[in-house]
Amino acid sequence: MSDVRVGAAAPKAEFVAAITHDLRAALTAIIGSFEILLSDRVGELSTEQREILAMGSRNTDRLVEAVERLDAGLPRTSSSVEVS
Amino acid sequence: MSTVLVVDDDPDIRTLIAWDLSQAGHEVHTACDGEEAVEAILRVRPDVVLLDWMMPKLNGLEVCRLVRSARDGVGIPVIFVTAKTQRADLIDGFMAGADDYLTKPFTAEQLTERVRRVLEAV
Repeated sequence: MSDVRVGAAAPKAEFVAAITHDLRAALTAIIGSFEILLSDRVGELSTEQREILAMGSRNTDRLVEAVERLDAGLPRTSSSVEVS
Repeated sequence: MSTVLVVDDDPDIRTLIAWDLSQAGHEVHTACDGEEAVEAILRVRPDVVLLDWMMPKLNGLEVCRLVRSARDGVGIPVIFVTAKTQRADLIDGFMAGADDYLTKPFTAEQLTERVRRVLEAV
């Protein structure tokens, strides 16, 4: 019985790794877009526009944290690495 | 002004990185897969290459190894910019000859700082 569970764990880990990989790529584009808009380099924002974008940006940060938790839950060889 | 080659199969990420680095004063060239990257590296002779890992034709690891094995490419700094965050990936990247390794997602500040540091070390 335990062999069956071990056998099923590997595909699940691969699936999670593939999903987090795709999420990280998509989040890179979303975070970058928010950064550019919030920097005012492509036009000055109104206070209301800035607040709306800031809300999107804060929630993107929540998604990044969720992805990092997913990565941290992977087996030892798949753990996230902080590179300073 | 430094010349940077941005290699990524995701057009949105290519655009964003190119925008960030152009704003920082760099001349930016782009390539959308591994084969195009090798051709561009030999043609452009960039001061630094920002290299995605998961790409069609040749992946980033293969591109990095090819660059390091080419006589003309030995001294060109390579920074992996990738969503592969596993410890084993990091080791593979440096073993292939990378000078730095930046994981996605990143901020514009992190990106430009990594490029600055690698260029300073040349």
